[in-house]
Formats: sequence, structure tokens, C-alpha cells
Amino acid sequence: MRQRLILICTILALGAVHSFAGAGCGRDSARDHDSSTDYYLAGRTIMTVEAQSGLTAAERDGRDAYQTYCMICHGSEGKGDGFNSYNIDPKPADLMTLTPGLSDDHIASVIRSGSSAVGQSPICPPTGPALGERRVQNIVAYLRKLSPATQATSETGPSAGQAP
Amino acid sequence: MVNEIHKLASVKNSHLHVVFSIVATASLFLVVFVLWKEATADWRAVQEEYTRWTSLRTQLPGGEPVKPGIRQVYLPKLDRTDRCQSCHLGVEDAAKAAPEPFSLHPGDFLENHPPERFGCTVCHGGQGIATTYRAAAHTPIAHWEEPMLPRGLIEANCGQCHLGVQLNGAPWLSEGRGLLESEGCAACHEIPGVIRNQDFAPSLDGIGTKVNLPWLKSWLADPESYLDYPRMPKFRLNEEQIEALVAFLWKHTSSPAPSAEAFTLENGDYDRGLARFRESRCVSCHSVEGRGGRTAPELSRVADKIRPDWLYGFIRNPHSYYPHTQMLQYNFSDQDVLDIVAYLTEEFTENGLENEPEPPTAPDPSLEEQGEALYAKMGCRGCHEIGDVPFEGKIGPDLSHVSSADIETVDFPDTSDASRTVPNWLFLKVRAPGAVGQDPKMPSFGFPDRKAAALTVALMSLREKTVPHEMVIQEPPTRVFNPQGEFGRIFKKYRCLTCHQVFGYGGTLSTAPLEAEGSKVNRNWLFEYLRVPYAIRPTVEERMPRFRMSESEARVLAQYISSVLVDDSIIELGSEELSDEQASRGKELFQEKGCRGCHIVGNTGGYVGPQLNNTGERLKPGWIVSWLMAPLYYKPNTVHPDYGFSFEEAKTLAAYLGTMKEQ
Repeated sequence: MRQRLILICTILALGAVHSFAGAGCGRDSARDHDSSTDYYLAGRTIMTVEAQSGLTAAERDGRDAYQTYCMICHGSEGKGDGFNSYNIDPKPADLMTLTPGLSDDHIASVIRSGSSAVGQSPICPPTGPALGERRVQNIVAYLRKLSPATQATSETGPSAGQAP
Repeated sequence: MVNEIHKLASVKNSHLHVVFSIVATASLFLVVFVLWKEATADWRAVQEEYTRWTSLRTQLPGGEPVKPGIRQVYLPKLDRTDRCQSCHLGVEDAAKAAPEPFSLHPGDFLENHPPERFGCTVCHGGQGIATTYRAAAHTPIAHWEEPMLPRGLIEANCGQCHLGVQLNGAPWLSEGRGLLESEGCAACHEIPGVIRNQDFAPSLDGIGTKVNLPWLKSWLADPESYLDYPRMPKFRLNEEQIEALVAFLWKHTSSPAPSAEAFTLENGDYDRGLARFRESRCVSCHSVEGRGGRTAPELSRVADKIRPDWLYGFIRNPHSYYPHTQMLQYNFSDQDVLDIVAYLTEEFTENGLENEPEPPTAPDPSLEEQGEALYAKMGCRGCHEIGDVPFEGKIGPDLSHVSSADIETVDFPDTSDASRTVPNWLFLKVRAPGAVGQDPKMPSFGFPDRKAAALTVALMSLREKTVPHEMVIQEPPTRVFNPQGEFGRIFKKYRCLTCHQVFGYGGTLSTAPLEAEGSKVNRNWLFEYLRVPYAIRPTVEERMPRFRMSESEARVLAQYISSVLVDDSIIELGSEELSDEQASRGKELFQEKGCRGCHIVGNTGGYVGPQLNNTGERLKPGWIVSWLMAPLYYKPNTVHPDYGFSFEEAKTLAAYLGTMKEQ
């Protein structure tokens, strides 16, 4: 009986000490996320390479999609001077001067459904079925990174709703 | 006697009183402490903070404050209990611009990996059951087996379930796995999913008749002295070791004998050789100063390396030298080959090395033995066959579970001030193998930091499996395409699979996989094309070589392809089933959709897709219809837009394109 009591006491006491210790650890921890990469040279290298692009993950994905589907006409910097721009009439739009004044929805609908969806010539084809909605939005994000919007966009953009 | 019993009892009672009072106090203290700890737990403060962040939303209809409590996902299959979302409240539905730890999970990863099915720690690592920052192992803790991986390395955990090389959304893992394969790591290491390629490097039989001796010595000392990006790593050999290896290699000069009969280089003509070199599209596979294909060796200094008589014999009959070479058998005349060799030897040399083959010195058996021992020790046999030396297993450590390595027992470089972690060890080892461990065998690949980091990610995915088998996603193995008979012989003679794929098996140089080619193109066109190939896509440089194929060979190929390499999902449609009226409607549709933006018709149009001027001769109408109705089904990565054409619309376009004939 007595031995059992001592055992219980010991367990309780140990439990209490452990809880204190655990609480201590929890409190004094540094919450610096970046410091964790110092433990990992490779991780730091990767973060550096990714940071050099100056783009978020979504924008990088948008860039890759842009380079696959859009760049050949609109050019690597979106100036409408891609390799194929010299072969087609009308010429592809200079996105750097055009997109800042357009709403996200307007740009997305051109990417998704082609330029004919906003009443322009049909030469810019629809890429929605191939890309899916998220990648369409990622291209919009990438274009916004290249040339930020000059005015309020989204639902209240100037060209929203004009699409036929 | 009775008194004594009472006395004993009272003594016992007084002891019990003391014990009970201690226990009672301790229990009370413990209860108070536990309650206090619960009430002030980290996660409570975090949840209150989140409620403040989202307070704006709670005023909106439908918004509600966070109910206090631990949020837990229990996943018996994965043997995990994750409480991460007790603090990370916004991963699925964050208030806009919420800071850590509330921010929205980036990317679309949660769409395919909902937390209620996968939890958090299976991808991120860390201790899911913990409710404090440190105990969850957000940062590495000594001896902690599975700390959270930082953002840079997290793709390693994707590799637990996703096998295979290419994985969308995990570019670093894909790059690293690609390197494990392309750098030949499996020659020395056991790596799950990477098979040792027996044809990774050439057999060294007869090397004495093939290469110049000075070249061989400088190559062994440092492959970068010859190529900017050599495939062979640097083995850090000293001069004596090189002499010994050369002596051993020279022992195997005899077979195959060079076909040097009546070979006189002077009879070759540079200009004719250049013409043959261009017409044969050598640079589709070979590169010259870094430009060209990546399938075959760089040629810019090939004359410094290879002896002209060997080149002559090899180009005449490559398959007798290397039965598994990817080089095709051209139908050159002997004079053609002489011309090509004359061109190669004059054009592709820097004269940095003496070209004269040195007569091998008198054989020195002890040196040859040293060389043979070195050949085995360095693992040369992992890549290069020679004589009857057998492959006796991979010389490097098994990497199947390398990321579970015990960091205390590995050779961590003392000089490095990096923290002693497994990924750091892997990174340092891969980047500079010579600097890690004592007398390390691993050769130096000269990986820049970027590649070393990608390799670290791929290696960190190799661990003892903790995920159940049914969650592992594996690409189906590609079927080996090995046609037999007359077709097989011609198909292999021209090494079609070096560039073309059949059901995913073969090279990636060509844009035209062949498994359904018979349903796509007309047999007569194919016959003519095999005889005289041309570029179908204006932007793609012409890469299909002119084989100078005989009529009968071209006929056999065209016949087999059009009757065997077919796809029943592509409809059969005779051109007589299409009317002129449909063709004129198709022409209108062609204008309406702006097809000219990408395709050349007549003299104008875009340079993105194939030119369409002779489509009527080239393509079967049924293929045009099937393709236009479902381009993404037939080629998932195509840039051809999916207009959602109906069957009728597609037929009008097929009718219109069928009218386009050049003759």
C-alpha cells in the first residue's frame, strides 16, 4: 500500500516537472521562420534562386504559362514584339501599355476565351480549356507584375461587361 | 497484545496522514497548474489573435468567431495526428492579407491534398501532435527524427508518394531526380526508381585504336580540359594512377579492329564533307560548341580526340562498333565517309594536343595490374564495359534510405561551419565530394549550388517509407517498342527511336510520336517524306536526316506504319465523304477562328503551327476531325487551342484543308 502511494506521488511529481519544462520550452522559442533555412544550405540556395526572379509561386507559374502560350506573339516582355508578331495582322497587343487600364476580369476573359470574346479580332486563341481557371488567373497575376494596374480593377474595371 | 496492535495502528495512521497530506497538496497543485496551463496555452492566444484578425468578417453575415479548442485531424492510415490547424487557422480560408500563422496555403496543393485526408505533417514534416511552436519542430532540433522541412526543401516530401521523374508543382524535386538519372548516379549507387543504364557510356574495348593517347591522359586528369560540360566526372587521379589506367586500357586495343583498309585521308574533300554533314543533320543529335542536340557527343574538338581511321570505320558501320549506339546507319558511299572524315578532322580541332598516336610502350604487366585494380576501385566498370571484366555490383553506398541517415555517424566536413544536418551533409557532399570524408571515392561532378540543391531535394525524398502503399503514385512503366521482322530491321537501322517516341518509349527530339502515325498521315505522303524529308513546322529547324533510303525500305516503313501504328479512337473518313459545300463553309470557319495567326496558308500566316499548304496530301481527313475536336486528348501539352468544335464543324474544316494540295 505504502509503496503504491509513493509510486503515485513520484509519477505525479515527475508529471508536474515535465509540464513545467514543456511550458518553458514553448515560451522561449524563437519564432523566426527565416532562421530555419540556416540549418539547410540547399534550402537557402533554392530560396535565393526563387527570390531572384522576384515573383511569387503563382506568378512564376503564370510566367511559365505565358512563355508557353503567349510569348510567341506578345513577346518575352509583353511588348507585342514576339517572333510570330511579324506574320500576323492585326499585330498582337502591346500588353505593357494596354493591360494597366484593363480589369483583371477583362484580361482573364481574353486569355480564357480568346480576343474574340471581347470583340476583337479572333487571332488570339482561347487557352482556357488547356490552362484551367487557376493558371489563367496566374497569367493575369504575372502580367500585373510586369505592369501594375493604374486604376481600380476587378469587378469595377473600365472594360468589364463590355465583352459581347 | 491488544495495546501493541493499537500502537502499531496509530503509528501507521500517522504515517498515512503525512503521505495523504503530501499527495493531496501535490494533486491540488497539479490540478491548478494544469488548468492554468490550459488557460494560457499558446494556441489560445493564437486563436484570439485570429479572431481579432477576422473580426471584420464576423460582422458580415455568415461570419463567426473562432470557437476555442484544439483542431485535430486523425489519420489512422498514415499513423498521424495533426493539430497544426489549431494555430494555422487560415490555411483553407484566410482573411485577406493575414500574416503567419494564419495565411492561406499557397498554390493549388490543397485541392488535391485536402487536409482532412492528408493532414499537414505528411508533407511538411514536424510533430503533428504538438501544440507549441518548439514541440512541433518548426525548426530542427538535435536528434529529432523528422523536423519540419523549410520551404526550400519541402518538395522532398512530395517524393515520398509521387515516384517517377517529372512532377508538376515540384520543379526542384523534378530537376534533382532528372539529374540523378542524367548524371549516371545509379552506376555506383542503389537509388529507388533510377536504373543503372548499361549504355550510359561507351565500351572501352579497342579504345587504343579509337582515341589519341595524349587526349586520353588529359581527359582522365580533367575532363573539363576537353569539354565545358563533360559527362564524365573528375576522378582526382595523380599521374601514376593515370599511367596505370592507360596501361590497363591499352591492353584492350585489339577488338574491334579498325577498318583501315585503303584509308587515305588525302582523298577526302572538305567541301563535299561539309555538304554531307549538313544534309545528314548531324547536329540534330551532336552539338558543336554547345549548339545542337544533346543526344550524342559534342564535336567541336572531336579531331583532337578520335583517330581519323577509327572515325572512318565507325561512320561506315556504327552498329558493328557499338551494337547499342543511338547513331543510325547512313547509306553513305565510302567516298562520302572519306569526305566527312576530312571535314571533321580539319574543322573540329584546336590542335591543343598532339594528334599523332603514340606507339604504346612495351607492356608492363605490373602497371597493367595496378590499372586493373584502380579500374575496379574507382568503379569505372559501373559505366564502361571493358573486355571480360565483370560488373561486380555498385561500389557506392545504397541511397534507398539516405535521408534517414544517422547524422552522428556520417562524415561531416569539420571545416564547414554549417549546422550538422542530413540535408547539409548531402549538399556539401554532392557539391564537392572530395572535401567530405577521408580519401573519398566519389568523383567530382562540379555541380553549381543550384544543381547541388536540386539533388539534395531529390535525395531527401529517399527515406524509409512511412506512407501506406496505396497512397504511392507511380507512373506506369513505358512499354519497350521492339518491332521484329523486316520493318524492325529497317526501323533499327535508322534508329528511329533515337528521336521519335512510340507509346512514350524513345527519344524526345521529335515533335511527332509514332504510335498513331498511321491514322494521321497518308501512306503515299509518308513514303515520299521518308525518301526526301523536309521541315513541316516553319519554326522548327529541319532535323529529320536525309537517309538516302532505298525505295523498298521506304515502302516497308510506310506500309507497316500505316497499317500497324494506328489508333482506333481516330475516326476513318474518306475524302469522298466530304463535299465542296462543306469545304467552302470550312474556309469561312478557318477565317473566322483566325487560324492564319499560327498556320501558313499560301504565302502568309503565322509561324507557330505546321504550314498547311499540302495538308490534303499529308493528313487523313479523319485525323483532322479527331484532332480538332479534342487536341488536348491527343497531345496534352499542345498549344493548339481547343475551340470545342462540333463534329460537323470539324468536318467542314477537314474538307477545306483536304482541298489544299501542292501538286
